[in-house]
Amino acid sequence: MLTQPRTYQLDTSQKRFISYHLVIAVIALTVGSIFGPLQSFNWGGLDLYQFLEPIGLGDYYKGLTLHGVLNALVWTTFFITGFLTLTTIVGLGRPLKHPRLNWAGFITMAVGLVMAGIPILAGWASVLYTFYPPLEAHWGFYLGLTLVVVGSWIEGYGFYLTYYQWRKENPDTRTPFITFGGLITMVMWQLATIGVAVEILTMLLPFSLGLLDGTDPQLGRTFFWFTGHPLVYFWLLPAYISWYGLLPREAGGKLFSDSAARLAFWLFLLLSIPVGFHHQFVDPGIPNSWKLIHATLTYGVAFPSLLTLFTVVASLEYAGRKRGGTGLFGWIRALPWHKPSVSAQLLAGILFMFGGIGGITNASYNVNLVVHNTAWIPGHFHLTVATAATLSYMGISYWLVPYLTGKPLWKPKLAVAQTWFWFVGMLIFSNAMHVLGLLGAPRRTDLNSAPYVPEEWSGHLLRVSIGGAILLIGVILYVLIVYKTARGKDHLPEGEEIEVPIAESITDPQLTPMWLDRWRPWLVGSVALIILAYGPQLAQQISNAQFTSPGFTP
Amino acid sequence: MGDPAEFSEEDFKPRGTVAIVGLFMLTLILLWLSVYLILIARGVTTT
Repeated sequence: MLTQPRTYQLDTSQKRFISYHLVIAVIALTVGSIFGPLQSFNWGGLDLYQFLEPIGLGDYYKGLTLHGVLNALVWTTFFITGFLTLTTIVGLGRPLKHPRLNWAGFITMAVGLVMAGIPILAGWASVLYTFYPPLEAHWGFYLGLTLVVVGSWIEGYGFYLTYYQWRKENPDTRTPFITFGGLITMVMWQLATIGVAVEILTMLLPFSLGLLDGTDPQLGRTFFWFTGHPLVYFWLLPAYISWYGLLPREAGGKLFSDSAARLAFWLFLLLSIPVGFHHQFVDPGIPNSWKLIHATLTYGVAFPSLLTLFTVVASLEYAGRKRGGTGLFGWIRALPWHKPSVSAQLLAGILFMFGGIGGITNASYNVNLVVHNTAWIPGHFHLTVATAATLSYMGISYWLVPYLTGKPLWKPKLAVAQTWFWFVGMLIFSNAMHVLGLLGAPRRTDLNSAPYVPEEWSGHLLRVSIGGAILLIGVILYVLIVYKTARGKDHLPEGEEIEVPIAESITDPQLTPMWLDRWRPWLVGSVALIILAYGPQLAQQISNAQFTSPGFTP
Repeated sequence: MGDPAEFSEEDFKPRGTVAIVGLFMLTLILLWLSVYLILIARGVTTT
C-alpha cells in the first residue's frame, strides 16, 4: 500500500474511461502475443501454424502482421492514451476539460482498430506492421490505422485543452512532471505521425482504392520512417514518465533532478523525429550526405538517453541507500524487488541498456551494414518496445489496475515471478536474435520454409524458440493476473485506497528554470529542425516521385 | 545492509550511478567494436 499525501482522486467515470483503454490494450496484447511464439517456434523448426490452417490463420506472414500490429501499434497506443489520460488528470488535479472530446477520440480509435483488424484476419493485409509499398493491403487496413492515429490525436487535443485551462489559472507554477511528460509525448506523436498520415492519405489509400496505378516505394519508406523512428519514443516516453516520475516513489526515494528529467524530455521532442534516414542507410535514392546528417542527429538522441540513464539510476540509488543499502552497488539489493511494479521496471531498465547499445550500432552508418534487415533488428526492438515499454507498462498495470478497480492485486508474488519470466525469456530470445543477425539471418522471413539455413544458425534458432516459449508463459501470467485482479471478488479494506505514486523531487520543482517549462521555443526549434533535416530531401523526392511501381498483394 | 536512519539527503552522492554509467559506456564501446570488427573482417566492397 502506498502512503503519501493525498493526490487528486479520479471519480468512477474517469476510472472507467481509462479502464476501457486498458481492456482493449490487454486484449490486443493477448491476441498478438499468441503469434509471437508461433514465429519463434517456426524458426526453431516447429511449424504450429499448420494447425491454425482450418481457421484461416495458418499463414506465417498473416501471423507476423497480427503480432506486429496488435502488439507494437494497438497494445501500445491504447495503453499510452489511457495512461496519459491519468497523468493529465492526476497531475493537474482536475478532470478533463472536455471529456466528450476524449470519448470521441477513444471511439474513433476503437472503430479504426476494428476496421484495420478485419482485412488482416481475412488475409487481405499481410503487409506487416511497416506496410512498405509496393506491398498492397486492402484500403480498410490503411483507413483503420489512420482512424487509430486520428483518434489518439483527438484524445491529445483533450489533454491540451485541459492543460491550457490549468495554465491560465497557474501561470507561474511548474507543470507537474507526469503531466509535462505526457504532454510532450503527445506533441511529439502528433508531429511524428504527420509522415505516416501523408503516406497513407496521398499514396497508400488512393493506391489501394485503384485511384493510382502504382506507387513510389522510396517516397513511401521516407514518409514511413519520418514516423517510424519517433514511434519508438512514443512507446518509450510513457515508460520514462514512470521511471522518472513514479518509480522513485514506489522504490522509496525521490526524483534525483527535476531539471534533468525535463531537459531530457525536451531533447527527445527536439531530436527524435529528424533522424529517420538512419533506417534507410541502404536506400539508394537518398544521398549519403543526408544519411550522414540524420546519423549525426541520431547520435544526438544518445544524450537525453544517457541523461535518463543517469537520473533514473541516481533516483534509484537514492532510494536504495535510504533503505539501508551500502557500498558501491549494495543499494541495488536494498531496492524493493518484492514489489511487482518495481521489479518489472527495474528489469525493463536493465535489458534496455543493451537496447541502447544496439541502437548506437544501428545508427552507425557503416556498422549498420552488418546488421541491416537481419534478425538483429527485431532482436533490438524487442528490447525497446517489448521490454523497456511493454514490461514497464506491465509494471505500471500492477498498481494501476488495483487503483482503477479498488481491488487488491491478485497474487503479488506470482506477479514478481511474471516479471522474471519476461526478463529471462527476452534475454534468451533477444540475444539469440542479435547473434543470428550477425550471422546473416534475415528478418521478416519464414525460416522454417527457407532452403538456405546453415547449420551454424540452428542452436541460436532453438534459443529463439526457447525464449519465445518463456515469453509466452510471461504474457499468459500477466493476462491472468490482470484478469483475476479486475474480476476478483475481494475489495480493498474499508478506508484503504491506492494512490498514484507520484514521486517528489529532491529539489523543489519551482526552482527548475522557467525555460524548461516554456513550450514555444522548444516547439519552434523542433519544427525548424524537422524542416531543415527533411525539407530539402523530401522536396526532391516528391518532385522526382514516380508512381509506377505495381502493387504486390501477399 | 546499513541503518536507514543514517541516510542523509544532503550527503547523498550517486557514486554507484557514476560507476554504472561508466560500466555501461565501457560495454557499449566493446560491443560496438565487436560489430565493427565483423564489418572489417568481411572486407571491402569494390566496384
